[in-house]
Amino acid sequence: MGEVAFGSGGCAPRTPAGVLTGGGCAAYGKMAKDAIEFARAIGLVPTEVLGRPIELVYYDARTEPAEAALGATRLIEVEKVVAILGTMCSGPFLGAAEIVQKAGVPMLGITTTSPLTTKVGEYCFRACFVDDDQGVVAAWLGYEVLGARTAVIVVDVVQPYCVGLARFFERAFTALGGKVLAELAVRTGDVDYTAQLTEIARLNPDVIYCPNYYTEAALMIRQARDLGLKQPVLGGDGYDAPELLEIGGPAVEGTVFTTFFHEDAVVTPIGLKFYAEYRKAFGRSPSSMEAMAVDAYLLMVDAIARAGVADPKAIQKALSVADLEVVTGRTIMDPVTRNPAKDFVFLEAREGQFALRLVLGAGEAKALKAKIGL
Amino acid sequence: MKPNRILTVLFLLGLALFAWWGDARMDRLLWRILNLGAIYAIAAVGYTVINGITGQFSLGPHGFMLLGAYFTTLLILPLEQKRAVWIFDPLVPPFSQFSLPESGFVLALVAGGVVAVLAAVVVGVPALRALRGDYLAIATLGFGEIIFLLVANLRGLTNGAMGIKGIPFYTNLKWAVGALVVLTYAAVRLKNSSFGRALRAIREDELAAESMGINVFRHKFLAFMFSAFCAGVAGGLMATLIGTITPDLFRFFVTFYLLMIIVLGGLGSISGAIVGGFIFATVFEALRFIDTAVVPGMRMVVFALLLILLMLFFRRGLFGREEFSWDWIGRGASRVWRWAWAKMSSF
Amino acid sequence: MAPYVQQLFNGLTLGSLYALLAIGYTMVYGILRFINFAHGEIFMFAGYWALLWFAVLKFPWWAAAVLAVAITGLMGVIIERLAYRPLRHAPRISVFITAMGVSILLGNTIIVLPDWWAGGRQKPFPTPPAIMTRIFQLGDVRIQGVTIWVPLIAIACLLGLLLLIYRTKVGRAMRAIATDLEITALMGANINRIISYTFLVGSLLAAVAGILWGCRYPRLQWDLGLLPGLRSFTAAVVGGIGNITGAMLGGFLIGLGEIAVVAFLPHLSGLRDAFIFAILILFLLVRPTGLLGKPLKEKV
Repeated sequence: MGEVAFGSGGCAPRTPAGVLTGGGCAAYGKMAKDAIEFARAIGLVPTEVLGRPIELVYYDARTEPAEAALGATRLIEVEKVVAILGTMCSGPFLGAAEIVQKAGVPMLGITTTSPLTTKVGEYCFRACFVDDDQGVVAAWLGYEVLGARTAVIVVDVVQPYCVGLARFFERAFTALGGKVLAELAVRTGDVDYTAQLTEIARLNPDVIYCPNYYTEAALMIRQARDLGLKQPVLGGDGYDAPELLEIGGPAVEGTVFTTFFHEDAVVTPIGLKFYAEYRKAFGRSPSSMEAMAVDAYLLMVDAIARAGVADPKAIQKALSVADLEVVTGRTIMDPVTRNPAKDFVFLEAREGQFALRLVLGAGEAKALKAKIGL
Repeated sequence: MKPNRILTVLFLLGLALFAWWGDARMDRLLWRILNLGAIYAIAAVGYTVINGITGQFSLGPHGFMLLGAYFTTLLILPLEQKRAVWIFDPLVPPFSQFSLPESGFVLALVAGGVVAVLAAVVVGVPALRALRGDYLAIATLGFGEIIFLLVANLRGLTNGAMGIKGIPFYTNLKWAVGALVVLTYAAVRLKNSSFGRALRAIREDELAAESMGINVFRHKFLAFMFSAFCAGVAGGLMATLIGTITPDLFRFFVTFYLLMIIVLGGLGSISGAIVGGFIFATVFEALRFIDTAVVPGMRMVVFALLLILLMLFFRRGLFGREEFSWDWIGRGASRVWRWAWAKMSSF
Repeated sequence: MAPYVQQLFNGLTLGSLYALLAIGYTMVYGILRFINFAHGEIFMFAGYWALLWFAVLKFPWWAAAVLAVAITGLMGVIIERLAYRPLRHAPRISVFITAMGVSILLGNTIIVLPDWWAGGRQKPFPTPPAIMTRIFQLGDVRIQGVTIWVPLIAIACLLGLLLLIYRTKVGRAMRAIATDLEITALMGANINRIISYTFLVGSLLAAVAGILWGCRYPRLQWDLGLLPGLRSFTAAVVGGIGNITGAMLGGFLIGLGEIAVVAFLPHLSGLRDAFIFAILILFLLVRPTGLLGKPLKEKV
């Protein structure tokens, strides 16, 4: 065979349905694809490995587990890829995970933060942090940094990502000594949050934790400010999209959320170069999703190179001991859990932009978890 | 034995051999598509019975499929997966305490179907008695949504939006095609019996049927239960094909697909539903290139347009209301033969 | 006390929006006895048209809104002409399926449109002028300007519509068709034209609702119309399908009810839609003609 093929499964707009679904995955996949292609085009990342060109085969999983399963099958059986990059969201990853595990082809989730994804088997990896930890550090930020002692959680009960994060936050916040006054439910696609917000006004917590996608969060924060609520709003990486600022407007000022990347937090040479080139080409900063996509690509290419042979099993072994400087920092893969130790970047919406608030290192996060007994 | 019957038996034997060979040797992508086709066909067979033959417009099969998928999963998911997956709200007993082994797969599928039927009872008793036409459609749509919301919120039972992973891959061509054959047989027997004739009478003119002494409600209700059972089994097979289920596995879009399938096949034709199911699974995959070549999402635009065009120009569908018969081949063959003979004689 | 007043205002606004949509459903059903499944998507499209004129082509906001309403109204007419009229004498299931197809087509068309206009990601609705967005503070209650405008505009629309139905020739023809289509046709009325007018009016109202919705909830997405469409249909049924005042009443009831469920049972807010569907189903079973509808007699 003339080239090494590896597949990338992205998320694209959802299936239409008579009744809604939605979620934040729409176009994350497109961002990933564009970012990887950009990085390849400017020579930032290798386009060859083991002396052969890297061929990327893209497959649209449409944020549906069933489609992801079909996609993985197609990539493995028809395109004969040696490894798979993707997906952006945890839901479709789980759909494909069983397939890749059975077939013995390693799959690297890009921003799949759900804890369940790497538990499927030794061929399932992720390039990002896990929601368990994301929830904990968010609780830490609320409790230690913002000084909040009471919180209300507003969670989108239809999205697994949101439900998981909410739970982890709640556990950690309570363990730190705070009190979660209530957990209020919303649904993907909801537009009117006045009822929930009025309840929050009544409960008057110190902070609101809303680990939903930017689609719901933007409107909710707007309505919260309209109703006169002054509490800071904390979110997760689902906020990391320009739409949060576009739709939320001035209302989202001061909102803080956890995510993977920010240009001011970049420390690695390749990260700085990526940022500079991206800025030059597009006139704006790259988002976390784009940075993570490039990271995943780098990790995979590195694993193939270290494996020395384009064989999925060898690549899997190499990937499980990955230790590489990528765009978002140094990534060290844990061979047992297949979760890398990653830093947590806290961003704040400030003057219509996402500004860096602070960074909590992976090591510190781990120590924090141990301290509160989780 | 009638020649048709012999042909049918031979066909079934050939099918069985094909299934055995396919499970072992077939290209995995094609195998997956065939399984999907069979699953859609199973749900479509039930759906055409209620929508096509009885003329009761139900928009809720996706809810029944979801129930079947979840219940089958709850029965056969290995215990260590159960412990691993329900990380927040623990799984409720008795499911947390036992799991069926692989030999219990048929039982689990049937149980999934039965749970779907129970839900159909809850939906059907009020809805079928009082509602017709568009109202019935909206009511069943509403029930489908309620089922989705219940599945998403009852975390102790379903793990909610987080979903369930690690479902063993039991589905293969043997099971899928086997279930299809069994349910098709049941449907055909139903259709060709006096019960089936009553259903068609109800479709044509409900009031006239009632005045002829047919217990309209009972007939509608039984047809509805049968369609729910088929949907439940299809759901269970899907769960054990993909290995992961989430509440939004079967949303309204699945009902939309099923509608396309039965309209394409011919409203009221069981053969049409089966053929439609396989055509749909194949075409859906084949048209994937539209999403990559043009722009993501275009595929559904094409599908919606196809459905509209189907309704405007090809409402009858492939089989109309009839069923496939070996006689068609016989007639077709003899026609070809006569044409060829005439052509040759004219030299 | 203040929170409840707050909820009341929000419920009224939401209810007015549902009412405007419900009227469209009820008018079409009254005349053609068919549920226009695509009505919610018409509502959604209005917002996108406004976005096109305002954000892309840089028209002033008012002009963009008016244009959007006009184009959306036309869309409704065109859809009827192309997709529904050919099936007017076909079995009802056919036209219902077609309506579903149109609904899915419209929604997915938004997804495939280019990003500078639409696409799969959400877009912000063009910010309306200040009179809509200003916050008024009455004691502890804070209301956005839109919250006051919407019910006013909705009632104005309703009055205008009632005038149309009861005081004009077209309106009389609509009422005649609603009573008996065949006889009205035999009497010489141009059925096709009247039906087109009906769809025009219904779509215009949906478009107005779409613009107002965007002012209140400024997030545009391809599936924006699905849930409001379903809820407005519930409202139409509750009020009495075929009855315009009933649709209005139903809209307010459903809007207030939706807010009330979350306000009084906040821990069940995840199941809120289940409640609404349960109400729909209950009405369909117990009182299908709705609160203000007349009992239908079935001709044998």
